Amino acid sequence: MNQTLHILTSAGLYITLFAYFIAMVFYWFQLITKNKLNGQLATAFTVIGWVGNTIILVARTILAHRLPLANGYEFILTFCWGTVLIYLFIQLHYRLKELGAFVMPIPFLLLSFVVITMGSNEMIVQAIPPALKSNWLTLHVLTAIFSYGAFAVSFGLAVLYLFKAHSGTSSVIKAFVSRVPDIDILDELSYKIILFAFSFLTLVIITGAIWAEYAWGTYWSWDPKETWSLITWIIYAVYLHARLMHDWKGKRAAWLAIIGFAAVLFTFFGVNYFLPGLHSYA
Amino acid sequence: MKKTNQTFWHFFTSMKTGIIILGLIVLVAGLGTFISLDVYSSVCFKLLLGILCINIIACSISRFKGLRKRIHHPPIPRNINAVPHKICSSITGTNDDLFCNLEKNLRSRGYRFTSAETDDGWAFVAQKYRFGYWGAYIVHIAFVIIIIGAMMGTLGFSGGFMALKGEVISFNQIPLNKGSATKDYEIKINSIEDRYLANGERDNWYTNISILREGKELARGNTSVNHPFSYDGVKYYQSRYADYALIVIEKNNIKQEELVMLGQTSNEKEISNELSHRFKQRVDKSDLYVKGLKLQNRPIVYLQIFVTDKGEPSVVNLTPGQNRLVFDEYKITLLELTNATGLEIKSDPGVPIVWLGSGTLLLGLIISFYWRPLLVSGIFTPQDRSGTLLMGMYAGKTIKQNEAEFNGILKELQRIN
Ligand code: HEM
Repeated sequence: MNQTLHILTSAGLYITLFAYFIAMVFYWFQLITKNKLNGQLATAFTVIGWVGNTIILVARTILAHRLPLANGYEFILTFCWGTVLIYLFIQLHYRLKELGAFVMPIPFLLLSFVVITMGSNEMIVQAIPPALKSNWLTLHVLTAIFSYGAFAVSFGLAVLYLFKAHSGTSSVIKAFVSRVPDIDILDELSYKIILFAFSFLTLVIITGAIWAEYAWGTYWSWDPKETWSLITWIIYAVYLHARLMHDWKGKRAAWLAIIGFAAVLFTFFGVNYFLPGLHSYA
Repeated sequence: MKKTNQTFWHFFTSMKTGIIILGLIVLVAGLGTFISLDVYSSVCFKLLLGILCINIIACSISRFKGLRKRIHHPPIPRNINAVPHKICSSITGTNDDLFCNLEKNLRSRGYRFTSAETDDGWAFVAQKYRFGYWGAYIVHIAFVIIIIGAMMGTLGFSGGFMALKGEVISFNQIPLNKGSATKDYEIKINSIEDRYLANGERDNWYTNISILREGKELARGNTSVNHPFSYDGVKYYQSRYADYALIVIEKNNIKQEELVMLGQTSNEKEISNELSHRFKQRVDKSDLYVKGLKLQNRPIVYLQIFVTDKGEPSVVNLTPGQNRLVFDEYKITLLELTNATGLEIKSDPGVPIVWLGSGTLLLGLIISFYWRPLLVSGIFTPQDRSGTLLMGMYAGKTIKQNEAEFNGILKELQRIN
């Protein structure tokens, strides 16, 4: 049984990576050729990848007797899962296939990162230390998946927005994005997704603080990961205010959304690889 | 003087100031993660937080009246220019029919409808989800509550101690690294346990403690990692753990007891390797040194005994009650296995305030994001026997969504008229 599950997780990883890659390429084709079939194939492969992604996570949950949220490897897989889920929802709800060309590179690159840099050490199912056995921590990571996933999609939207906004100056770009909805719709959609992600990021920070209070007795210790999550939060708070202030919508808002997502990635990766801290496990 | 006051007030109530300060906080906080200076407790950083707080409070005060007015008495347009024009349309119809249909339509959609007569016709304003305006207000207040809670943290104290099983420590003996506190009770360490699950994984470290006053037990409970014990506003956190072996060394009928600190290993093959990484502990006033290891989750101890002038050390393994002879003259008996716990104590009166602020913040965000106020207003100008209603809706922050709502209202009116 366990042997089968182990094989399932390692084979699943390559299948998922491959499916996300093919999906990404088809989304690009679709952008260039406008061929409906490309878009349908892209969606099909995205769904296949997502199912593969789900299977890995379920298998791992069974193997570990806990949710797969304990180390960097598990978190990246869950993050990709959340990003693609939110993306698929937006695509189906708003009929926005062009977005895939800008969102799918994110899970693809992250999974490539896993395959290239992580050894079997990280992929092995490990026991978690007592400090990590906390329902608050589970909530903390679960909310992070939805928050980061939605920020990833808002990043894709911001890039798509800038692409479309610049189409006035280039006939090639114009041809690519002719079927993309009006930029005002993209802008508002991006705003709504950021509201969702910001609410969840607030929950991430609060549940993290509650967990830290239980585990270490200090809800806030300015460790780099905490500090960077606060910075990310403030950047998006500035985004929300900037829209109210001198009508900072459109291009400037899109750039802020891109900077915000860079901060998300830095909180997630940069802190682990460049800065020391308490959060060394995830 | 009045002018400076006004400039001051204007400075602090400006959202631009707020954004710039937020930007500065991001900059300083971000820099702090790269350099090894503790910028977060610096005066400069605290000053920034203080100014942000003042800014938010000032902004909230200055917006309070306007907000209340907007919620309870939204302005009814007096002329055509006062009708929202980003989302706007006009509709013709007879005076009374139009009014009745409009009111019925808006009320059935849950709008609060207010109207007034104008010089020659009438005007109206209708609002839905109007309390949503409080959302952003609540968010800002919540932020201030959190900062106040954080500042209250400076009134707390923290410290820590290490104690053996059975030890009783007077609270006032506990060394504090922050703040000060005196209490008239003692803490007794009843038991310490390094517990494992059936599958061999570590469950947790448990310390059972009692609070005693003059020998009388006031409270008793467990503390383990992630589950602190709390009494009298002080929390006890399980933070360290150490195994000890109580051994007796007997030579020429002279007995000596010694408490040896033990390392832990889960792998018997690693014993010599692990021992080589440990420090030698000198047995009090003797020529004997010892290093010790305990097998994880099992009552087996490995001792490495060194005696000056005797060359290579000797390694023995013992379970409680067993003894061994080393170097032909020392009888080493393992009396019992014991352990010590490291507890941290913390008291922070600001914590409940911070949680209150966090809850309020979430509430405010939900209201502000998902309880979007809608406002429609319009003015009717009669011409002959019918007339024109110019009607508009505030675009708010989600113009497309509001447009859809507005078009719904409009369609229904056109269908009836
Ligand atoms: C630094 C000083 C700040 C000032 C002067 C300020 C001012 C404002 C103003 C005037 C609004 C518009 C309110 C409305 O639409 O009814 C607003 C909205 C908002 N503010 Fe602030 N704010 C500040 C800091 C913050 C901070 C630190 C947060 C942290 C979360 C925050 C979160 C929000 C949110 C969530 C909204 C609603 C945005 C939306 O609905 O799109 N503000 N702020």
